[in-house]
Amino acid sequence: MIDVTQLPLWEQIVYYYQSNGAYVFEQFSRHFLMAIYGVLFAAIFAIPLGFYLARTTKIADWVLGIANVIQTVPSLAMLSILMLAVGLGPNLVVITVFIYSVLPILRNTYAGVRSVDENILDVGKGIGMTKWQIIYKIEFPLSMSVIMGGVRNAFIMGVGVATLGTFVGASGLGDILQQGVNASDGASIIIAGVLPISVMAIIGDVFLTWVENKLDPMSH
Amino acid sequence: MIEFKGVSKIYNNEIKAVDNVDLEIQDGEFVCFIGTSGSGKTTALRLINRMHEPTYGEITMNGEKIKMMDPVNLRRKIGYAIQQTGLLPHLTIYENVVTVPRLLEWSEEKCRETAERLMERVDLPLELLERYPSELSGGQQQRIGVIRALAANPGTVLMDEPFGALDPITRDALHELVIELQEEYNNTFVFVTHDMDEALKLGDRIAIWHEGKVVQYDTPENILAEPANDYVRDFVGRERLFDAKTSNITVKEVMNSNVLTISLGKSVSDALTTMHSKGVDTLFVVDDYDKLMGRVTIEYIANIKNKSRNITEIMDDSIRPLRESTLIQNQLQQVLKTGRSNIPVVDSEGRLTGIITKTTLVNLVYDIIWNQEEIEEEILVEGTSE
Repeated sequence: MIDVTQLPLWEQIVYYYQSNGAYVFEQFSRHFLMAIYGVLFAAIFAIPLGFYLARTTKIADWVLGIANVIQTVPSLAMLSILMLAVGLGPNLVVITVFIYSVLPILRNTYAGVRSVDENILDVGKGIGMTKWQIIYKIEFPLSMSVIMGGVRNAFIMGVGVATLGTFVGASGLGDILQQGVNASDGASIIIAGVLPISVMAIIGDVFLTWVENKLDPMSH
Repeated sequence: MIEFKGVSKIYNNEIKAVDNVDLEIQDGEFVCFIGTSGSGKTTALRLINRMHEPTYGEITMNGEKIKMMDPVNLRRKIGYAIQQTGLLPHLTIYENVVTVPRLLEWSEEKCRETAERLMERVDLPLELLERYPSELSGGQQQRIGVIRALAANPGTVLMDEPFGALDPITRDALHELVIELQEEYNNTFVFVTHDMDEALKLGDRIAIWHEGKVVQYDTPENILAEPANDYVRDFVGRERLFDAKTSNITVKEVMNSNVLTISLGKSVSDALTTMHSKGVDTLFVVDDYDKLMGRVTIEYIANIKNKSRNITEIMDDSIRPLRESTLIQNQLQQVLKTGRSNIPVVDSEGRLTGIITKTTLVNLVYDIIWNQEEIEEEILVEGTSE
């Protein structure tokens, strides 16, 4: 039996991964799924709402204002409040991620749709496109990259919020951090938990930025 | 035929963009709507494809009320082009050109064939079809805008200042193109512009808009010849009216119709008598129907010994008369150069109706130059008083 604490830090981390690989992987996928579900549901909800708001600018200010206020509530406080209604477990985390993701996606969808050149919309209507055709042939493709920017922001935030899942019995990579905090000399465990969270956020960011650029109508 | 019947468009219950307008546009006609911004011309255009709905009155197309038609189907039958081109930046040129054919669910081969034919028609290389709008110059983009409007071969084409943002050379080229295309496909064109030269060049008829009303609706020639009121006069511009005046003067308008003639069969002594009594040196010889046959001058007669000879034998029949409908502008140089003192003028049947003398021309040139100076002085005075 080796005394792990006597090893250099990076070897301790490697040792942790060697002995807990399956556990880390399980928490990683759990963490990822909580974040992605929350963002996905938010996108399904916020993108159509953003399109609607872009047409009814009078209530847009109100809705975006309310979303802004919600955004300012600290995430731990939000979790606690929602816990009273939803109870413990991963669903609570998914709902919290959802709530935090709505604003960036909504705001970007609204801005994206509003930024579509009026002349293009005018011609689209003038040459005989139906309202629905104007949405899916003009507005959606032209605002897609801005919308994806919102999704990217939401995902990065979602990864952060899902870390708090450990406090409400939802597990995730936050569990590893928590163990490291509780252990004496747990620095290596904390780093072993921080690394996959950072990797998830960074890779997600890089990938979604790529998608965003790919969808930019001016990218060709 | 498109007909406006008592059409008004009122915004916010008070701003009359279009004010009780009656107007009809014939099939195959090229009509220009011209006016300052806020004159209602663009609103009127957009009423035709139901981008706006009239507050009062109705518009019919071939006798059918457009209010009763499905707006989407109506618009697909009407070509539409605007100043900012409105090309879809995320689609290739090909996809842009065939937007309407695709909405109409034409087959892919027919779309491709139409796009290639139109590209060739406007002298653009076919490779451009696979490019994106941002890779084209402004003039090329506008060409694409024009052929997109024509792609589904619509009966009516609406254009809202399509060439306003282009440089003069490109714009001229596109004018030619639009005229050719219109003649080729015989569409009805409604073309909004604020540029009088553009309207005069393109329009079969021009509707001049002012404060929501059509103040004059007529052919370019008639508008220049008889502006309906001071507004039109100002709008058309005095210089242009003056140019039109001088360039439209026909020989008939300036000729002297008091011309001395002698009929066939008269003798040389008869001619001499007439010349003496009227104090002239030239007589024109006409037949019984006033048809110009030739002329006799005093120089000719002086050399003739036998004064009883018939003038037909001695007249100069190599004269070249002017037609009375010819524009003086085209003939001025020639007349002054040939140096003849007087030139006979005939109508379309060859009958002598008058003469043009050097004096006539001197007066005309004097008028033109004198008037021009006067106008220039006025402009100068206006310019300094501002």
